[in-house]
Formats: sequence, C-alpha cells, structure tokens
Amino acid sequence: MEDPVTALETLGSETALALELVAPERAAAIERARRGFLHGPEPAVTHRQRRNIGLVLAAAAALLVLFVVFRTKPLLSFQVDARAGRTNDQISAFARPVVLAFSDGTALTLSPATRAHVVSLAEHGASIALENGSLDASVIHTNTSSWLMSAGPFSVRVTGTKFLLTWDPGPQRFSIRVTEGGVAVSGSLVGAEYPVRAGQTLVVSGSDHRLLLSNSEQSTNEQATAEREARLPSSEPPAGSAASVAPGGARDLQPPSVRGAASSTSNASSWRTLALQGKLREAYASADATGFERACDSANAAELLLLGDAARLSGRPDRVNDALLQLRRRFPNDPRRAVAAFMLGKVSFDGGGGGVAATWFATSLREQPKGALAREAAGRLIEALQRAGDSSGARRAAKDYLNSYPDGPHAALARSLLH
Amino acid sequence: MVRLHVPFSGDDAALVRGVREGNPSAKAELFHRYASQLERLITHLLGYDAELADILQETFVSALRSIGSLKDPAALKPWLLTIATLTARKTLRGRSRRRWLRYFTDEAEEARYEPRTDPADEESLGAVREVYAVLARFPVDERLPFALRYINGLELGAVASACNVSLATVKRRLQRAERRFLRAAAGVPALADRIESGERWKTR
Repeated sequence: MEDPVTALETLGSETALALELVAPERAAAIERARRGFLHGPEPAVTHRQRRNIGLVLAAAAALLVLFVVFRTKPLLSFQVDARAGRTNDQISAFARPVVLAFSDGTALTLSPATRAHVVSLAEHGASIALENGSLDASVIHTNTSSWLMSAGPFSVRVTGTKFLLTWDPGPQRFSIRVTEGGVAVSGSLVGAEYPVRAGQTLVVSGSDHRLLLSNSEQSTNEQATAEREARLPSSEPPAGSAASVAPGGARDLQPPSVRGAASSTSNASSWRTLALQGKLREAYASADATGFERACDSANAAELLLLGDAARLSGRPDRVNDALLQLRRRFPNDPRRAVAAFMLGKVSFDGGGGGVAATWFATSLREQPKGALAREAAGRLIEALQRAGDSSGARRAAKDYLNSYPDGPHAALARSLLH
Repeated sequence: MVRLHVPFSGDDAALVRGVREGNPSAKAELFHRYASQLERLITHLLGYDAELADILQETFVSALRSIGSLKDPAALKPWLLTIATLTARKTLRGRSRRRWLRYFTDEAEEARYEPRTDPADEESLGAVREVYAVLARFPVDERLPFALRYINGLELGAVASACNVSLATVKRRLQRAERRFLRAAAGVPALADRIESGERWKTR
C-alpha cells in the first residue's frame, strides 16, 4: 500500500504540472507586475489595494461615474469581418485572414493561423493582445491617437503607423516590421521603450537572447544570414525554462554590432561561409590557414564565439583561449561574454584544470545568473571546485545549485556533497 | 552601441545593499531574480488567479518597504517567500471578509480572467479547479501549509519559515489539512474517481 503523504505529493505535483498549462497567462501576469513595480509611480498603496478601496467607495462614486459617462465621448468600436466585435472575445484566423475594422478607420488584419483579442477600447485607441501569429496594422494617426499592442512579454506603443507584428510564443520570437511612422517597443530583453522607425525591422528571440534591428530594404537572405551569425553555437546546451529567458538574461544588447554581422557576411571569407554551414572543423582549418589571429582581429563578437567553438572542436584549446579572451576584451558589454566564460571554463576543465575552470564558471554565472547556461555553469562549478580540492567551496556551490535547480542534472552530485 | 540596461551584478547580500541604497538597477534585479519563484509560489497557493499580477506586484512592493528589517541579507530568498505567503494569506482573508462587496463586482468582468486553454487541456485544468475548490473551504492557516508542502513541494522547515510559524505548529496544521483534504476530496467526483481508482490517497 502507498503512503498517503507520498500520494498527496503526487497529487500536488500533478496540480503544479497542470498549472503550467496556463504558463502564457502567468508569464503575462509577471510582465504586468514588472511594469507596475519597475515603471509605475512609487505607490503608497498598490493597484490591488486601491481597487479594494475603490470597491468600498463604489456606491458613493456611482453618481460621479454617471456624470463622467455622459460627458465622455464614445469609445471606439470595431467590427470583425463586418460583425460587431466585443472586447476580450478571442478572435482566431484559421485558413484566411480576418480583418478588425475600427470606427476611427484603423484596420488590423490577422494573418491565417493567428489568435488575438481586443483587451480594451478607448476614445482614441485600443489595447490589443496578439496571442500568436501575425498582425498587419494600419493605424490612423491623429494628435491624440494611442494604441497599445502586446505580444507575450513585449509591448508596442503606437500613435499612427503601418507595421507587421509577429509573435511566436513557442520560441518566444517577436518581430515588428514598420513600413510607415514609428513605434516604441518595450518588454523582456528590449527593456525600456525602444524606437523602431519606418524601414526598420526589430526581431527579438527570447529563446537565445538575440535582438536584431535591421533595415527592411535589407534582403530577406541577408537578414537570415545575420540572424544565423548572431546565434549561439548549436553545440551549447539549449535554453532552459521560461525563467532562463527572463530579462536578466541579456542586458547589454547591441543591435549595431548585430547589424555589423550582416554587413560582414556580404564579403564573407571562406571560414565564415563554412562556419555558417555548420562545418566548424573546416572553418577552423580555413581560418588557421589564412591566419587565425587575423581572423580573430576582423571578427565581431558572434564570429569570435564561432571561431572559439570551431577551435574547440578541432582540439585547439590554445586557439579557443585566443578567440574567447579577445571577445571578452574587445566587447566588454556583450552578453556573449558569459557564454565565452563558460566555454573557457569547459576547455580548462577538459584540460584537467580545476581552479581556473571554477573561476570561469563562476564568472559566467555572475555575468548571467539567469542565462541559458546558468544551470550548466552552476553544476560544472561544483565539479571544478571539487577537482580543485576546495571542498567547502564545492559544498557552498552545491547548496546554491540545489536552491536554484533541485531537479537539475547535477542535483545528485550536489546532494552527495551535502550529506 | 546602444545600451538598453545597466545591469546589477552581485550576490543577494550585495543586492539587498543596493536596494536599501535606492539603486534602481538593484530594484530591477530584485524583480528579475525572484519574480518567477514568487509567482510560482503564489500560483501554487491560490491556483491561477485573476489578481496574480497585482498580488505579485504587492509582494515586491511590501518587500521594498520592509527591506530595512531584513536582518540577514543572505537570507533574502526565504524572506521573500515569507512575504509572498503572507501576501497570499492577506488576499484570502480579505476576500472572505469582503464577500458582501460582491454586489458591486461584475461577474462578466471577473470571468474574462479565465485563462484561454485548448479543449485538450480542460480535463487537467478541471482537476486543478477541483483541488482549489476543496482548498477554498479550508481555514487559511491550513490551506497555506498544505499548498506549500504538496503543490509547491517545500520541505517542512521551509513551509514553517514561509508561514512564519514554528515547525511543530506547521506539522499540526498539515496533519489536520491532510485529513480534511482526504475527507473533502472523497465527496468530489473528479477527485473521488482518483481515490477509488487506486486507493492511493487514503490507505497505507
């Protein structure tokens, strides 16, 4: 027979797991709380407390509300494929586009396989939530128009413009291509409001912490190349939980340097071409033949990371150090520094190092405590400290690891050190 | 180069110092470092809740106000878990006191917070709703340790710390909550089916 306490734990785990089904709503709640906490005025009472007080005063305020309602101009209205639309009704476009036509002339076209809803209507605008898919917007500009579009953890503030907004919640990929006017994007990875103007496309990939700002006239192929170049090496562990793509994961994003990746591809040397084809050993051989140091000198941060990985796969730890140390020296604010630190730790550890490897793993963790490699770095830090003979340090690292990743791949090792 | 964030780095002790000194980067880091953990805890205590964002924000606002009282900055995480638990407790108590005010609330307005899910997920979420419907009938001081222990998976010591009570007290409350849950679950078809199909929740 089964211990009832264990069975309750099973029930609890199942309940916790089922609650993950509403992960998108929970993530949206975190984002709303973030905005309220970080960008709202310092509140004497919170929004919820204010609302409670508001409830108590509701009856007294009723007359005032009626007065305001009669004096306020009507809110915008909208139609969905020529039928009256209602706020918070889910609007899905399956095989064909669906048009939301607003009373001010604004038109939003949902592409096939897109889901959205109108969150609220105002006198001069509306708030729209794009749940997934693409939305083609043509927003009528007036001096007072104010539109807000949200897509996952991102918000787009619009006054009057034309743009194509796309959100894929799976890989957390956000993109906006502005064809007229301008918008301001805020949210995870992007931070405070970030302007995107006519002719520009902003792509943010939450799963691998990438932000790409490009000119729309740039060919699709060039953009794709730029994105591929900016991506982390595929041999690295994949991004983990939703928490690992939290805003803390990448803070000093450098769109211009990413743009630079695109331009450098236009005259790509053979090692670059080979690296982009995934032929890293061949890429290393090519770079080495023409001068590895010269290749490093002309490489941007993404390329240095690729060169480091190519050298690692080719069994040249000395060259790994050359490329990655150069990355860390030349790009002091690049988020890839933490990835470079992790790779340096791995190379050192694979070469039998303990203390040095531990230092690099700790550096990676310090620079991106919630980054995609944080869990792996925390686990390897335990191993490296153990090898270095620092048993108290290893126990501390084990305790930290279990606090953050009780079910992680190094949890058993961590527990064995603590018991 | 476009710098979009000024990052804060450092351990929890440094973070607490930064927050106390009014460093905005530290305040942002406090949220980034702990928002997911606290959201998870609050959701496990209350179920998916229409006011989740507000409760989470209120937790951080409370933490910010009382950060001066944190004696051991290295114990930031358990301290935050306690604040989140107490905020959830306050929410539950406030709701039961304010039932009469429901006259003023708009049910349609509340219903819009119901998460949108695929029909395939409905069965799992139905069971979740039943679990929280049972817990809603619990005294708050039994509900919280039950959810912390079994849904959030905290160890007993951490449950006691989060509830701000002694270990002995939390053990007593948990025992009562376990008995209460098994009795109540037996009367709920969706949960009773599980009990009957394995006898796994009630017999040794």
